[in-house]
Amino acid sequence: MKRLGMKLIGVIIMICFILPFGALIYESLNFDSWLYIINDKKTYDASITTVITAMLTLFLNIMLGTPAANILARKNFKGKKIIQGLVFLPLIIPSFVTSMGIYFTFIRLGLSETLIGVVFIHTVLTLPYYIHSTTIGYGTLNENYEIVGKMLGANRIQRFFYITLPHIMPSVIAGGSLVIIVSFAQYLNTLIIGGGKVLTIPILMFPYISGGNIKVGAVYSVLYIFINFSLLFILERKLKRIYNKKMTGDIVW
Amino acid sequence: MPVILFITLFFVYGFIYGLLQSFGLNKIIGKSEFTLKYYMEVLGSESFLDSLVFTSKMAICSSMLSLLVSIGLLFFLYMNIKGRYFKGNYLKKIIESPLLVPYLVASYLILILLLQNGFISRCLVATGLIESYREFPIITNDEKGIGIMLTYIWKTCPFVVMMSFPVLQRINKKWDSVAYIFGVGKIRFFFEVALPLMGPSLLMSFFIIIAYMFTAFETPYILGVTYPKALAVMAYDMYSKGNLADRPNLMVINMFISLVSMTGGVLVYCLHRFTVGKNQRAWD
Repeated sequence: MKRLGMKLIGVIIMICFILPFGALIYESLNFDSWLYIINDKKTYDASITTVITAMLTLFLNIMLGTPAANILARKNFKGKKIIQGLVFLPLIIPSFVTSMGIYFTFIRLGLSETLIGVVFIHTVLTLPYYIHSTTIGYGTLNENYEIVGKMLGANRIQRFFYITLPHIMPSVIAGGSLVIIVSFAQYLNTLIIGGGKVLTIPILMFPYISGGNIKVGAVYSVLYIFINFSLLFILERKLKRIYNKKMTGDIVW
Repeated sequence: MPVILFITLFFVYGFIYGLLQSFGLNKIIGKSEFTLKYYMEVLGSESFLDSLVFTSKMAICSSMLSLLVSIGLLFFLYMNIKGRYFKGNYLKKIIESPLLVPYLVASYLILILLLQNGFISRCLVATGLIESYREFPIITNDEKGIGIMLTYIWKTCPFVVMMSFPVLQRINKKWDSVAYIFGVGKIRFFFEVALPLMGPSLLMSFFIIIAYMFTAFETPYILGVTYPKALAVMAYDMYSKGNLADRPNLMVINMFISLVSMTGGVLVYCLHRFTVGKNQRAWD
């Protein structure tokens, strides 16, 4: 009897959490809306822009964040606390505050209403997640491995690609997934900096969601979730493969 | 480190620019001078105070409720660990599923679910429980903000559960048998041993949620009413109207929001330090 009751409660909890998704699927099962979206050229533009923005953001994160994580994880120096605080500042200060402040500077630099400007803002907002994740990766890497590589005559670039990178790869990918999630979720900052000219999926679907055609909004949401998940899925597959390789010892570290 | 330059240039600069503008310096049009006039103006205005009350009410109510629901969920998950009512991991996976959608989509999901002619109301009409969708209560875009609160609860509970569940898993293995020997039941064990242990992580997620809700834009924009607005929505409306003379007032609102979320951030940081220190002693 008690077992049955607990099962019932569990099922009710699960239904409560799944119900909104159910509503979404129900609303999106509408042939006309799908047709409307498939025939709209903007859909493809927006999807491509969203993916490109996320990818460029990821690229900038890797280029800027990895060396920073290295230093933050290993070196002790004066003012380290301040730099850590600076890196995590975008998590504490709401991002639209700075986007509004920086807009006029972006006009002067010619970055407003361009993809690059949007990528810059996304990068600043995602750096804390990436650096945090990669710092943990560097924290588990013993510096002696690199010293051994140095003794054996590997130069700086070789050491990075053959020793450091394979070891920190899992945390790079974990951080990268977060970067993609956060970059995908941006609406307000993209709107402020992109000025409506940089058309990502959130920007495109927002008018439909806030009081427009509900059914079209549903289809866009499905599309949006689908693209987001596929990107994450690809990243996770990569991660799993790396772990498996480690198990079998393909990568020596 | 290039990263410092990057963040300073594209983030800190924007913040300082806003800060200066809020004091009447660095204006785009008109003469610049240091003044607290704008702070007086905004903090005294009625629409700002209404927004502030509305936003605080939303933030505090929904994070409290979210905390309570999360404790309930954690209790259920704990009983599940003991009783194994649900095999496998899928119960937890399902509870955590809202984490995967952004707030924009989450608000929209709640909207289509609870609209007066939305999914639930249509289901009820179809099953004959209510005559027409007009009998369904208006709980989206309502003045009390029920839709907003429900979205926050749906979206933040998984987060709280995710933050505190590891603690639950760690206790489970170690002290359960001790409690059993002393004749402490499962329910008492949860509320008297497990809950206090989860305290710091629960409190931490509580502050994170409150700080986030003060800055949230999408949810109140989609599910809110025209008056009173949430602070972030108010700021955005002032911004998008593009009146340059209003800029300093806008920046005052922005600075206020930043101050609240910064306080939240500092509290979380302190709590984190506290727990890390305490944890080492408690678990060893």
